[in-house]
Amino acid sequence: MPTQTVTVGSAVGLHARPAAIISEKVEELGAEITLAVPGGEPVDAASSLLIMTLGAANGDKVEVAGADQAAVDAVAALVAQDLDA
Amino acid sequence: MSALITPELAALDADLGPDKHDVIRALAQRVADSGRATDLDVLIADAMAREEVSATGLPGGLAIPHCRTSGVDEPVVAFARLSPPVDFGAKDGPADLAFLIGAPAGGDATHLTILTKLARALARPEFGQTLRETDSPAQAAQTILAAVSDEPAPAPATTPAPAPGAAEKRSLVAVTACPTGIAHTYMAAEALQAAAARAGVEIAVETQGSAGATPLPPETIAEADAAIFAVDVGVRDRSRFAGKPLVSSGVKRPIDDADAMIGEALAAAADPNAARVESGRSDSAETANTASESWGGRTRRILMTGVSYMIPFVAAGGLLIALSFLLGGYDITDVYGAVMVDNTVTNLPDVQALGLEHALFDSALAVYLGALLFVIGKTAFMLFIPALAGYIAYAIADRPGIAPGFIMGALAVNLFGVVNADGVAAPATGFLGAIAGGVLAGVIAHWVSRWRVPSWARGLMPVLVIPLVTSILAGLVMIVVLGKPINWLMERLTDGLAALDGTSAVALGAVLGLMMAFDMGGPLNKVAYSFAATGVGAASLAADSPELRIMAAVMLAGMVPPIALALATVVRPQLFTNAEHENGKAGWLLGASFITEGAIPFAAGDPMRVIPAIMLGSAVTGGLSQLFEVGVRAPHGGIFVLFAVTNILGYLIALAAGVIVGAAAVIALKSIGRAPVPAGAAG
Repeated sequence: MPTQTVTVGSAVGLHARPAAIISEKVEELGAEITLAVPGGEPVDAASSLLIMTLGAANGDKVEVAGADQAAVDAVAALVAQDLDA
Repeated sequence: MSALITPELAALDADLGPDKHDVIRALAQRVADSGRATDLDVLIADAMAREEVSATGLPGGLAIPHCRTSGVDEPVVAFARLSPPVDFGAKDGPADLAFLIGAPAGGDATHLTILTKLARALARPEFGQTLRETDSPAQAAQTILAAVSDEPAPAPATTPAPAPGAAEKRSLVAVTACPTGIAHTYMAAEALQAAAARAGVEIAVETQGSAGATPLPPETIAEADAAIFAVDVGVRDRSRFAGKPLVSSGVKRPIDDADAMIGEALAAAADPNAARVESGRSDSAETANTASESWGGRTRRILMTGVSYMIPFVAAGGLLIALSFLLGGYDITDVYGAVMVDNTVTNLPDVQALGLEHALFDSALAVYLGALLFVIGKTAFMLFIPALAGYIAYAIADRPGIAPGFIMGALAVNLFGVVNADGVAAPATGFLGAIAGGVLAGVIAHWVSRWRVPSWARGLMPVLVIPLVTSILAGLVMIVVLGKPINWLMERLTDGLAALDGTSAVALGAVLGLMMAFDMGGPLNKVAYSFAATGVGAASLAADSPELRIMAAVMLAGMVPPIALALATVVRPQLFTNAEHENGKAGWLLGASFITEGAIPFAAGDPMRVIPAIMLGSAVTGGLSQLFEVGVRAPHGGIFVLFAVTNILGYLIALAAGVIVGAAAVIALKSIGRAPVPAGAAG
């Protein structure tokens, strides 16, 4: 399964707004995508609430996984971006 | 540093205005009122600004307006349960739980930490449920605080260092339950989890709330070093925890004192003399319940739960009835009402006037006592079918199923005693009808309890909505769909028996035996019994008249099932559960007293194997009884009416043959298609 590990780009980590933006993107893509901190349980990236449970701070690694390579790439790019900017 | 949230920062069922801006303003005002805002206007402005960037509504009726602001100098959370709910921009509708989070400007890490912890708490359904059900702002604040303040982050680096020398992480299991099963159950669970996290131990908590409980996996219990029971009611299926070192308390103690309880549990785990969960013998083998449980296993567990709660009723009722026959003679059944109402210890019944020829020592005291024991026993007997249905429904739907299940069971035996103008009783469907009714009630109650209802209606669900809706739906099905056809069937069978009468006596005996054993007190059994009993009651009959022989065939056939099953539990104990062994001990006397119902616990637990086997045994006995021309003058009493039997030798041979055939058939059927109950599973 395509997986990509990226560094969180948002200045204050994956808090409410970045999480909301990512989950909206995932819904828009209609793909099943999971996010995980290394060694942690993957969570459904379509839920902003579950993304927030990761507690991923700026500079933390996050693993993006899903069946669709293009969707994984798109979501990984969002995670890496500074969504607060 | 002040607590993140205090009771004055929590508002329940607050109407804070129709718009999310009103809600933010009102929550910020609460922060200011509690002295936590350095600048109220800045706090409001920053939260509004953040809300403009993107809405903070989350699916599931949640809203988390938040900001980093110079309006506070310490992190703070204000909570409101909104009534009516207010739209915060979530796709699935307005929010009824709103959390305003204020973090000091520049405190990026704090802000994210609080959000993360709150999100983790919100991802657990029981967190939202507690907040939706509690009736105290202090409880709400405590629940949020437990979730948000001290939970360690999951990153390995921040895990508290384990105690020196503890090579592996210790683990605990806990059960929390309160009488209403609403708020305290979940608050105690939260508090224990938070305290365990502080202590660096793992804990798995089973919340036995009114919404039902998900049992802990057996392997989790097996691995745990100790158990904590924080309960104000009994722990369900306590025997699962047998042998674990135990710390127990009321449900409120963890809320105040969870850290100490975790400490006590760890101490108990290390102490060989610590109190331990007693090993219960009953209902242990049949309660193994995991998510991966097979369909057949689940069916069996449900039936055995009903059976295990029913057995005490059967045993108490059956043995009391047997005792009353011994004291007052079998004809106590005709006079118990008169004796109980008209007589007292100082005004004992007149044995001669009542015509009680078989009272023990012709004693008036024995008759009086016998009548009272008969009433007590019969009352216990009237309850056992309702208990079967009630606890079958309980096994399916948990607590919400009990009341409707009992009602269905009572309908199945016409406990109310409904009769028409001519005194004809409403059809009773017996224990098979009770199983159907219990399952029906359980499934409907389970379904209704999963309804999503507005928060104001949640308190009404367990006490009003579930019992009402379930009783209506299941009750109508019981009466209309099950009752009428059974009535029709009973009439056909009565006609059929009358037609069979006078043809082959042996065949008639065998058919009566099949009917007696099929439902043990249910409609078929009743048809067969009343066919025989009305014949005996009709007139004074010669000792060799066919009516007396039919009565003997019916009585003997009705005695076979409990005795055959009792014999089977002795010959092949590994095929039966502990509960069944206990029931087997009573089975000898119940069968000997012609109380066929003594076999119901076995039949209800495994109908497909037990019923055919005992039908075979009873058919053999019924046929042989006719062949040997056994007769009996009394309509009830089993071995207590041996004096009224013609051809006692034939009576005993017919009984023994059916018992042996029935027991052999049960053993054969139970040996194929299923592994024996593992002896070790009994806790």
